[in-house]
Amino acid sequence: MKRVEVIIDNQVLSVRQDIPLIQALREQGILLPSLCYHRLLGGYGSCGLCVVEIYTEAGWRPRHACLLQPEAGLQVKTNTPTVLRLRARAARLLLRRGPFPKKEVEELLGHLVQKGEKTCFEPDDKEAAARSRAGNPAPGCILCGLCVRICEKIRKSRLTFLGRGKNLQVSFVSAEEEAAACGSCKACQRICPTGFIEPSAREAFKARLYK
Amino acid sequence: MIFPCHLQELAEKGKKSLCPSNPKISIGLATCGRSSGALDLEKKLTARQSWKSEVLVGGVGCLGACYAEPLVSLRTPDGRYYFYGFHGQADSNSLWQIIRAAEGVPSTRYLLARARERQPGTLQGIQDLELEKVGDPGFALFFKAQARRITGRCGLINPESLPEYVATGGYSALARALFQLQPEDVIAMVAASGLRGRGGAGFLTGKKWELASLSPDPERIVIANADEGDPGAYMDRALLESDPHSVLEGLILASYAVRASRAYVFVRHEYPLAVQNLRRAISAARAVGILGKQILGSGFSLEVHLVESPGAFVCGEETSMLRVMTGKRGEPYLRPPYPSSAGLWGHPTVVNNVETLANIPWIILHGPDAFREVGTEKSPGTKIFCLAGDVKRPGFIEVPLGTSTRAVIEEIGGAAPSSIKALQVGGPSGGIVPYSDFSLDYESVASLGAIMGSGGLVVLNTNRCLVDLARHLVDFMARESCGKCLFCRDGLAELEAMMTSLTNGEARSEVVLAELEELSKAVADMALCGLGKTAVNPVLTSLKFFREEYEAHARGKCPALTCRPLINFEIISSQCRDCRCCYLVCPTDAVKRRGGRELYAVAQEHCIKCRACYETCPFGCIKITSEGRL
Ligand SMILES: Cc1cc2nc3c(=O)[nH]c(=O)nc-3n(C[C@H](O)[C@H](O)[C@H](O)COP(=O)(O)O)c2cc1C
Ligand code: SF4
Ligand code: SF4
Ligand code: SF4
Ligand code: SF4
Ligand code: FES
Repeated sequence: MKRVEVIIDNQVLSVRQDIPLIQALREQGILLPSLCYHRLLGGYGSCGLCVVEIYTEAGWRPRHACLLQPEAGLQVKTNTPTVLRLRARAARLLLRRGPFPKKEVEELLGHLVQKGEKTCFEPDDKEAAARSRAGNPAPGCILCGLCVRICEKIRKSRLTFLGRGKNLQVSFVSAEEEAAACGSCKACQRICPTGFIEPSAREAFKARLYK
Repeated sequence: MIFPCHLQELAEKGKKSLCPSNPKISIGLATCGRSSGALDLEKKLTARQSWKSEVLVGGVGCLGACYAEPLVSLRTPDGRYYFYGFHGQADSNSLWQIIRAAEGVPSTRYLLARARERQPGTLQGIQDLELEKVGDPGFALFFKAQARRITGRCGLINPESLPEYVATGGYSALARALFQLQPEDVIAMVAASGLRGRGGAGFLTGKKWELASLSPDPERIVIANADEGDPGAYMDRALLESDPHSVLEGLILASYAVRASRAYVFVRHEYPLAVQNLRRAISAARAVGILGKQILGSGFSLEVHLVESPGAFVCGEETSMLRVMTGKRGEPYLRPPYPSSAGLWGHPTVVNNVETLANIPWIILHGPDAFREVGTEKSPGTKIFCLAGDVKRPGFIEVPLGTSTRAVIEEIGGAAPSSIKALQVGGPSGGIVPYSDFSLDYESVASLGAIMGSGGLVVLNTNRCLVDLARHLVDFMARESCGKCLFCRDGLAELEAMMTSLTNGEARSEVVLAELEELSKAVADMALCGLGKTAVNPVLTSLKFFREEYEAHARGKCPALTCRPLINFEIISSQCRDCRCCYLVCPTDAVKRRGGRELYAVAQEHCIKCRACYETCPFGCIKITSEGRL
């Protein structure tokens, strides 16, 4: 297992090189907020919470830690005003996809919004939040794709993304022998960070298809 | 060896149909022509039994002067060309003009220009035509500032005819490469030419090929990207519809250069005519040994497959395209690895835009130095643009890179400079910049914060609301995003909501402007692929250059007088002649008849702002106002 030295918030740390930066840091006790990362499924870059700044030719640039591979000498900052502000923005956008069955999610996001707020002026946007919630067909799902990815990984592939852009949705794919094909493992339910899949994937997604 | 007599035969055949000894009528049958009635003209002309063997009638692609469609040309046996344009009015009268012309009485009505083959009986492209007489000065101006290098055959040859392509010099670059050049030489020539990718990012084509050719993996693939999702841009379509073999030849050359054994064309299924012409071109080329095993008798073999794309904007992004081609959802992935080192099924893959590929035969035939004769140091060569919007002569043009906007917009497009406010460059992810005289090359456009994109050029006059336009573009991108990244999906949706609050008068302060700017930057920073990264360009550029329009909207005022919720219709009583037009035309009875000196007035609460009264009043006494919140 190869290790490399990276510089995290001005401290030199030795981390594993064969895993995404977010995981490597996690193993060193540095926890970056994240909703769409799972060590079995790798980085996906959807939720935008794991943002850090890294040093590049063009200066400090924000990047997703779940999509970065540690390299020797990589310089990372995890707490700059830019980072906090971007996280707050991501959290704010994610909150629009709520409310979430899991209260921890609301708390985490609320907390991130607050931390970012100290660094920048944010207008009151309750109205806008309500508006975008009104158009959301699946409140509680942040489209992080973990359920889709895990179901594919266990070779059931019962879940898929449908549509694109702001109309993206997760959907359940019926099969001939539907009962036999799905429902028992609940892998998707266990991995879903927000608690959306309830009581089963079929119930959570199928009913919404024709809504 | 089949070469060269084989090509020679084809060329002879092509020459006969291109420069026949009978009068020949060619009708522009590309999509633009079809949409203005060209098929009907063709049907009627081919149906004339009495002509049978005397007058030939055939289809060609798009000449580019889309503004005058349907376009028909008549070639007389002495090598003269009469170009007719019917400006959307292909009626029986215009039909008769062509018929009479073909019968030897060329009329001057509808005549755009008359030209002559410099050497009668030989035609390689539009450069071989000498203008003899100008019918419509606009038509001459439209072509004057152009340099039709790779579009020279468009609108002159039959896109379905391999012989005509060969007769105009087609596939001679391929023959030259296969028999006289090593793959490395081809790469070196393209590298030396400085050709940059025409698909948007402007990456050096030679460099891309070199990377792929250096890969240890011997199985290499080349893909022609013909997905073209930019609304308003149709250069790839026009090329494929008018001259598909030139793209195919470029593709074969690229494959030879990187020693690929398989090539694909990834083409948007909404382009049925392009797909059809490409399919025909591929099978015609295969039939004569230009594709398949041992091309033209050389040691090089190649198969080309056509893949129809599902047609979402994001599918044109190269990594997303590669996924689609393996049967997955069109969702980009983070580079590196770049496709040129590991692309389709992990093999090194060169992805090139259609227009990029169409430049290759030219470079092989004329050499890199000749290629650099036009254009700028860093942006050599020519570029196709699709000129649209508030211009007199919209169309499909090719000019040297570095040509001034003034030459393009005013000379070619015929727009009056005083009426133009802004230019939208580079499609929905380009930028909205003030109209000024700047050079159209990659660097200059980038320095304004926009991108060249695939070459859309929309001219906007003073009646266009740029806030509304930017809103519209952001909305388009929010719908077309793959939806994987939060910032691209929800960030763009949020931006759109903010922009909507400006255009419908709900935004109550200028704070929203700072928000717009910050969120746009966040989207650009955090999106994973080029779509999200560039989607905010229209907002950022219009905010930078036209901030006062945004500020006005934040105060409830639309300076261009187009955002409906922010405008009012008013009747200027002093000019009213009591003709009753507005009163009669208003669909909601919002125009009220009054007594006294003020004859009519608009009841604002009933007005749906349909503009009917404004457009109907013969005395121009209705005005639109936008007072804003006081
Ligand atoms: C959202 C998005 C859409 C794109 N669409 C196209 C397209 O329709 N056609 C194209 O040739 N390139 C498109 N590109 C650029 C391609 O990813 C790629 O850079 C290009 O095909 C490379 O060819 P070139 O080097 O010849 O330009 C798109 C890029 C992005 C980010
Ligand atoms: S419960 Fe069904 S949908 Fe969920 S992971 Fe298992 S197989 Fe897939
Ligand atoms: S259901 Fe849960 S795991 Fe699946 S996409 Fe939505 S939030 Fe993610
Ligand atoms: S930036 Fe947008 S289009 Fe690109 S991967 Fe992310 S969500 Fe998809
Ligand atoms: S804009 Fe339309 S609705 Fe309003 S007054 Fe004029 S005609 Fe009537
Ligand atoms: S954990 Fe990296 S974006 Fe979600």
